[in-house]
Amino acid sequence: MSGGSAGEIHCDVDFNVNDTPRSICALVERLTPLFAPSLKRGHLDLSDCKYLGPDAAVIIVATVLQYQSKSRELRVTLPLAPPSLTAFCEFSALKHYVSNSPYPGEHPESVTVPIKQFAASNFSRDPDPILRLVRQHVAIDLETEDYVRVCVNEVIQNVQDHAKSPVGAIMCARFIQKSGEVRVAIADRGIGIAASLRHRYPEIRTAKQALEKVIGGGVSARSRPSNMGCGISNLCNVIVNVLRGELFIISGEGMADGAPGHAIRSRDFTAGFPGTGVFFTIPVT
Amino acid sequence: MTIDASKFLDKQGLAVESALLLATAVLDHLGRGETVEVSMVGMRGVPSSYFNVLLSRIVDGFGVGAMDGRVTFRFDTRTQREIFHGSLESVRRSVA
Repeated sequence: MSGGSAGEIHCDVDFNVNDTPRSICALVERLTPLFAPSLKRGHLDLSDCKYLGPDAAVIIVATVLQYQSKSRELRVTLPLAPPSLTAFCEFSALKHYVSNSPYPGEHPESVTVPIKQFAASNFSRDPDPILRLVRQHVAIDLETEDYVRVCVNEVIQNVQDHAKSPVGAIMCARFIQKSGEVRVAIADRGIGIAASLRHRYPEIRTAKQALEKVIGGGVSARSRPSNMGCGISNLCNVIVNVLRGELFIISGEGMADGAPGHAIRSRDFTAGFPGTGVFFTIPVT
Repeated sequence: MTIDASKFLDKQGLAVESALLLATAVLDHLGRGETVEVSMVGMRGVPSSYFNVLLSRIVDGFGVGAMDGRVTFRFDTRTQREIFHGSLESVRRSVA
């Protein structure tokens, strides 16, 4: 990070952001100076980065959109190489969101679901773009298809009900051919799970505790009277126990991750993420 | 009386609003003394909020006992059944 021209903060992301919890944390830590609400102008330089996935894309786009929503300016310099990364920036719509350049449309052989901004979940939409992408590559059974939809909808419903995110939810996904998995990334720039719960559960002091509570189930901010605290616990159960996938949640100063055979573990994340990000990988073959 | 949940979708496909539409129809039939079967056939990706709203309305109107026979559900995926049972447990807990 360095001070740029006329009070502009400059952040370099000069490492690869693959879709792992460690990588997501490193990206968020690097972006932290840009999250300052008082900052009017920022510059995010990704030119030395050689890999970005859907996780990085949604975090970057959510940040850009939040700047725009407050009439602030965040310039983003995208990588110019390698070709696979520049193609990802084009066809995932990352370039479109960060520079207002026209979106070229989906690549016919794309393995990426372009970035999309949601104000609310639309659980009946069909065909869901993630499933359409998966079906282009492999056959997917009805049960797995339904589980994928439920996972996405639980996350987006939570954003809609609790997050108070000025940019809604940003989603991107990628089909990983080598392993037959789909990676889904959804981020918001809302108040975070702990802040949402705290008015009803003042005993919750940390984001880590808040994550433990919602993962356990039965704890809800009750932003709507019908909220029962099922969403995140369903999500964790479906992804880790039923589908044998991997899950990572980052919210404020807490994070949690789970994988088959391991209990979902919550931890502190001192750098803090201004909102909530949910990232998961599901085997679909 | 069988009510097809897929006929009660909010125009924007919103889960909670769709559940409210369906709940109104279910309550209407229950109010006439009928038993109701709710068919979830063809409904995909239904999040817990959908069942929370639907079941809360039924329980508010006719008590938790309504779920023991007067209202039944037909599912065509295991996913629906699991999400439904999670919500039903939560709704029962909330009125206990």
